[in-house]
Formats: sequence, C-alpha cells, structure tokens
Amino acid sequence: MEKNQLIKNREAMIEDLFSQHADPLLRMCFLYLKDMQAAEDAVQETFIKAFRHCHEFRGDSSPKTWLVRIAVNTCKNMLRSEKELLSMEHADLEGLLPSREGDQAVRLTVAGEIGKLPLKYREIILLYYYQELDAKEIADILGLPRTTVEYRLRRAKALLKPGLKEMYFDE
Amino acid sequence: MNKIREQIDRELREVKVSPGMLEEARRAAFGDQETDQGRRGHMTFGTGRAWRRKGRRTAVMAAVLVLACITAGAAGIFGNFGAYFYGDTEPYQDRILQSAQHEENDRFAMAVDGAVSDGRQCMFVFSLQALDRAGRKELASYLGKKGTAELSGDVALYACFEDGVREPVGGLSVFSWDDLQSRDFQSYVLTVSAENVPGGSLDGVTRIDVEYDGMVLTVDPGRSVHGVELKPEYAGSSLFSENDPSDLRGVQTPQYGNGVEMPDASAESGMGVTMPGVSGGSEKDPGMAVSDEKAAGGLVEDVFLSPIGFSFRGTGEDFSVWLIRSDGTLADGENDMAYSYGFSRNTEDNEVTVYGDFRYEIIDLEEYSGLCINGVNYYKTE
Repeated sequence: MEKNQLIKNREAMIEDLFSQHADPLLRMCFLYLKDMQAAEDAVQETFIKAFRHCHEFRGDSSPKTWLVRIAVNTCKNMLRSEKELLSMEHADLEGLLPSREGDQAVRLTVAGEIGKLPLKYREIILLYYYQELDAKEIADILGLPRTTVEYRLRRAKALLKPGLKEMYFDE
Repeated sequence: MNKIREQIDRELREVKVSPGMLEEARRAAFGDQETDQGRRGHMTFGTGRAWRRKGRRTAVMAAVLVLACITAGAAGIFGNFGAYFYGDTEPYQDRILQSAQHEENDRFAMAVDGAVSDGRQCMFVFSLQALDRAGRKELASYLGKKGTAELSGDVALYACFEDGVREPVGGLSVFSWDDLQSRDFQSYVLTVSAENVPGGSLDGVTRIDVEYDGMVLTVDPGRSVHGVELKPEYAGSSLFSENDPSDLRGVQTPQYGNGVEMPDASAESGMGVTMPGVSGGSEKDPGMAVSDEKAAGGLVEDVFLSPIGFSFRGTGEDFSVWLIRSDGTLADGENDMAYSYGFSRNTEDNEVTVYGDFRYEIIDLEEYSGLCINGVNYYKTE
C-alpha cells in the first residue's frame, strides 16, 4: 500500500475515533481534571497527538485503548505542569459544569462521587467503568503492575459504595 | 454498557465536544499555515473556549514571566509539595507543618514548601530556580543522564536545639523526581531521620536550617502525623518456603501462615528484593522478633509505621519490607508504594536502623495492618 494511502487510512481511523469516542473522552478528562476548559484542551491535545503519531500506531492495542492512553498521559502532564489544576482537586463538580439558561442545576450522583475520589482511585474507576478497559489494559496505560490496578480498583469500589449505595455495581 | 457508564453519560450529557474540534486538531497537527486564521474562523463553543483559554494562559504565563523577572524569579517555585503528590492532596492537607518560604540571591531562588513529620522522620520539599547563567550552569551540573538531578553535598542541613546548639545533620535522604527537573528548575524531597540528628531524636530539635549557596530557610520538625508501634506475630508467621530461601520462585508457593495473600507471581518479577527464609519468632521472649537470627537476616525490633514511612532496628545485611494491607494483601515497595530504604549502621554492634519513606503519598494507617519484614509479620498494637 502506498504511504499516502496508509496515512489517509490512519487519518480516517482518527476521524472514526473522534466520532465514536470524543464525547466520552471529554467526560473522562473532565472527571480526571475537574476543570471543563482544561478537559477541552486535553481532548484537543489528544487528537492533535493522535494525528501526528497515527503512523506510529502498530495495532498492539485497540485504537480506542491507544487513544485513551494518549488522553490519560495528556491529563497527567497537565496536572504536573499546571499547578492551578491541583487546586481544583476539592472542587464540587456540579459547580464546574457549563450552565445553560433555563436549565435546572444538574444533579451529579455517580460523576459527583467519582469526582470526590483521590486521583489514583478516580483514574482507575474512569478507565475500568467508563472506558470499559480491563485490568491489563489499565496497567499498560498507567504503567502500573496489574496487581496494583486490581487492588486500587477494589479500594476505589469500597470508597464509592457508601455514596452509591452499591446500586451501580454490576458484580 | 455498564450502569456506571450509562449514568455518567446521563449526568454529563451536556458535556460534548464541538464539531469543529477535529478540524482544529488536524490543522494544528499538520502545521497548516492558516491554522490560526482557521481557528478564529471556525471558533465554536468548545474549541473556541479551549483556544481562548490557551491564549489567556499564554498571556498569564507571559505576565508571570515578567513578574518573575522583576522579582528575580521568585514565582514558580512554590506549590511543589502538592505537585509531588500529583494533586492527591486529601490525605495530607491538614498535616503540613508550615507554609512555603523562599529566599533568593543573584544566582538562585530557593524554597521550602511544606513539611510533614512523624517524630522519627521529617520530610519536606526543597526547590531551586536558577536566576542567572551561573545558577543555570550549577543546576545543570546536577542533572544525570536519566533526567533526575542529584544535589550531592551542596545543600546542608543543621539541627537547632533549644539551648541554641546548631549541629550538622548527616546522612540526608535526597529524592528528586523526573517531572520537576530541568536546567533552570529543580525540586527535591528531603527526609531527615532522627538517627541522622545528633542525639538520635527529633524531639529536642526546635528547627532545621536548610542552607544552600549562602541562603538559609527553616523547617519545623514538630510532629504532625502520628505513627504506631508494631509487634511481631509469633505463631505461624512464616510466609515463605524455607526449602530454598535464595530462590525467588519460592515466593510463588508461600506457606500462608496467617491469611496474608502474596501478590501474584507476575508482580514479583524484576522486583529485585531478597527473600531470605525465616522461621517463626520466639514465643518465650516477646522482645525477640525472630528466633532464627541468621535465616531472618537479623534481629528486628522497635518497628514503627507512620503515614509517611517506617523504621526499625535490626542486625544483618538484607531486609525486605512489605506493607500489609488491612485486607491481608501485601504492598511491595518497588511497585505499589515506591518507598525507599535508608540504612544507618552502628559499627560497634553491627546494628542498623532502617528507615523507609513513602514516595508520592502519605498513607492512611487505617488501610494497613502492619509490616512484613523478612517474612515476619508485625502488626499494630493500638
């Protein structure tokens, strides 16, 4: 296959990923960073990187996992480099959502409880439940041993259960 | 789709990307000369805000840079105590001893940013920013090949006592993390252990002076977190097969003596920990942690665990230390906790005091029941 054709195919893959996963990615970044504008920046940065590096995608993981990995790394970098985001750690998510005229205040039950988790547990819950990745994929993305991911997942669920009254866990 | 995902999508249904974001990303990625014009022309709700924010940030950063130049670079060296914990601030927020301080001369701005102490160890973040060429050159000289920086002996600490005596602190633990190292700026976690303070205790120390390039800042070593004493469990405390103590594969078939669950074999590979075989401790002498001194790598006593680290005294050469979680599983230092060990050896009786300080987190003691040292479990007594 010609190189140009290959690049076009990869760009088409990014377009598909955008249409399927951009909104969930933005919601994940919002819950990760607890800042709507930073989340938008993170998603945009994710797709910029995806376009730039799509030729490096080897198919070792699914395209979605690859994209989520870029998004998570982008969020981590933003947290490390932009200290203003650290101050948002204790912010109430409901107050951070974009408000629309005439809308009643949005009630965040699950998102609100996830937002209260410390980052190391929050990211595990987001990847496991929201991105529906398994422990191995999460371990690969976060660069952690699988056992650590599994432990943090158990711990995160335990932290979530009182707030959610176990109503959302499928197990 | 699982219920949690469904519910998040429902709750955050208003959170959507703007349709123009993909095109903006494509232009930015491929360096279209008309990108900026395109961005302005296609500005939509999400994208426009994002780019405006970037513009605002650039303006703010420029203003900060100007201000930093005016104030000789003082800005930007605070907040690293929080950065060290990656924003996971909840466990330590009310335990920081002091607010940030900074001082500067022509070459450097330096800052001490937060401190936490358990009475046996005191940790704080120390940051340096180069303000001129000479300062930049000096900071650059600390940078190693792997991106981490080494302060070496250029920072000096002094313990100051109530009677005015000021003594140098030896054996300082200096930890630098890659994310905050550059030629212009470096940040370190410094840990002072009681063993390294003249007198062997932090109790009488009123302040710790941090000296660098002729400048001095102070750290309050007072206790802000409380640790617990740990006692050995005697009956059935052996975790590991004694058939071949040198063989790490022995860890895969441990003798589960007390419900402690070993991490699976995949987590063991490459950990580089030594797992000497041990036998159970003596039931006759509560002061004896382990009955087989040689096999256990030495006597272990005075075991202490706090939110910021652990310590114990022992004899021998090799110590492998695991945290025991409340659910009985083990957290290892290399992978789960990233704690480091410091050794202080008393040459007279070959006794060592081992200090470990946790990296990137202050633990909640409620989540842990004790320590496993060389295969013997030590549990909280209170």
